[in-house]
Amino acid sequence: MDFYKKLSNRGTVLVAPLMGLPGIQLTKTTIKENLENAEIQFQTIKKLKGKFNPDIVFPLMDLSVEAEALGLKIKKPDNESFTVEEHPIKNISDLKQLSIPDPKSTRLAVFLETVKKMSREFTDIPSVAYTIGPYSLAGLLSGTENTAMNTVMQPEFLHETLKFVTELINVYGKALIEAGAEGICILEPAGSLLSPQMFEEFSGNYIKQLKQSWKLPVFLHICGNTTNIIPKMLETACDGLSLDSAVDIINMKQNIPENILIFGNINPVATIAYGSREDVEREATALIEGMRHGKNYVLSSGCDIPADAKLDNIQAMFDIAEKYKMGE
Amino acid sequence: MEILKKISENLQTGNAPKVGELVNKALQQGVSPKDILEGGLIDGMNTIGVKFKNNEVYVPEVLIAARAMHAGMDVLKPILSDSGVEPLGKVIIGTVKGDLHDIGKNLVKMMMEGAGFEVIDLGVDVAADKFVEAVKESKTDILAMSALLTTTMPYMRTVIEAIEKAGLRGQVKIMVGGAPITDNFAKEINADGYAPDAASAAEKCKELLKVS
Ligand code: B12
Repeated sequence: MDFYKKLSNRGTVLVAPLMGLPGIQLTKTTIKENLENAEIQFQTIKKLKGKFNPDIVFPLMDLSVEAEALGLKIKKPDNESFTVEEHPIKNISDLKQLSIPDPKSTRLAVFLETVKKMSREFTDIPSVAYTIGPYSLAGLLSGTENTAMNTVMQPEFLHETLKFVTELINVYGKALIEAGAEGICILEPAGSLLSPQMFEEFSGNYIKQLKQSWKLPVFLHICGNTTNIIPKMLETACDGLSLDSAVDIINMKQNIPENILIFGNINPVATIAYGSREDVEREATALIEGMRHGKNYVLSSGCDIPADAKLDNIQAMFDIAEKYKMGE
Repeated sequence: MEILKKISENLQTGNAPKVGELVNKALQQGVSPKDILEGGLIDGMNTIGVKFKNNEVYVPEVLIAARAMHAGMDVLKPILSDSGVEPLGKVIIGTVKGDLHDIGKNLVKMMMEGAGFEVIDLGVDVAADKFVEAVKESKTDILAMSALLTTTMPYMRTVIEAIEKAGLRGQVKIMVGGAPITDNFAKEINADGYAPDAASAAEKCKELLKVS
């Protein structure tokens, strides 16, 4: 069933934190097991869904999987997020050595399989898959600092890299859709390092192509303070923006059209992971109150919630939303 | 002076070869290394630092300006030490163990250098004993640590404790920073200073050492 149809059955105060990792507390598994085994990851997400009853489900976040599919060396600790160890693509001839793999023959298959299980089993709410964004993936290939400088110093090389990685993300996204994803959330953490013009040229324009190609709801998540690039994020024609806690979304909502979903933005670390229940209740209440006049609001975390977050704090978000639902 | 203004401007636009060339030219014209440093390189970095703080320029431009500053410093450094211009103080900087984020740390380093400090960079993923060793090795005024992950933040406390244990706490000021760090956290772990951005980090250094 389609994304919006499912959501329309869920009432008006929607809650969908970016909360894959804390699920490992429920299944007593390691991060590594979840990122390498679709059945384990699916059980983790199923437990989370059973416990919290969110309005949208996401897989676990893994910003290294696309880079690994391109052959980069990845560090895989048992209980930390995977990271890319080396960033060897320094020029066009390095880039030419890379080729687009069949997603099924790489670790991308873990996520394809997980999303397949999610969309089959969870018929009541939409399953939204993640992909990394083009600019962040280029950063992993060539080094984040080099890539930032290349926006000015070697823009042609950077555009060649971006064209290539956008093709990989496009192929992966199509495979996710075929596996049953009802929406895709693009994660572009390094986007907030750029000026609005740079963001448009080196990220937004490529994201726009992905949105056009995928033809289903696409959301855009960028960590950090994105206040200045929100207009350019909207120009990507994505169907929703997920904004981090550094953005004053209550104030920004007037600049975001009503047909665009806004996800956000309780601080995932200071408040949700390590704050008190009262902190979460206070922030959630302020957000729901402040965002009320938009039907396009989804209460969420500003960014990915750490694995060791207090589950009762996550529960607090849902409890506050429930209180508002009852009042309606 | 016209040439110093040119150095500052080319630094701000990140033209590294030009900055190196202009610094050489200024030296040939007989401008003092100290004036080149202060009126050219530091002036340029300060301007960039303020623009970055005000969102007028972004990370890429600051990184490129930093490169240009290094090009100028490469020419100037040997002459500065010959001509007896003393750095304001010596800073050891590193990103703590488990953490690979270094863009912010590099910017801080560059602003400190721009402000006239000598900075020794230990890189990323730096363990407590490495910090201790570096402080022991040569007279250090400030130890600066960066962390971008909430999981690596607490390691700053470990480093401070190791410095205490080695009996070095009295002789070195400790500064911390990075996106998740707050002034409160800095106080909690018994650091001497915190700054939210690279420009203020250099100011904080001066404040801690009571120099300007
Ligand atoms: C670039 C980046 C990376 C790059 C790093 C490349 C590099 N060479 O540095 C890569 C891809 C490697 C990376 C990896 C990871 N990252 Co990362 N990354 C970022 C990103 C996008 C930008 C950070 C940055 O450079 N900011 C720009 C600089 C200029 O700002 P800054 O560092 O804050 O520095 C300023 C101030 O803080 C201050 N300052 C900094 N240091 C110091 C020191 C002193 C002494 C002082 C006084 C001041 C000071 O001055 C600076 C200049 O003004 C942020 C998200 C975001 N948009 O903020 C995530 C982010 C920091 N990463 C995050 C995470 C979780 C990770 C990973 C675990 C994997 C993942 N899920 O992405 C790995 C961990 C790897 C590891 N072990 O360290 C999280 C951290 C969450 C948390 N709070 O714990 C963030 C916030 C993104 C997110 N929400 O998911 N990342």
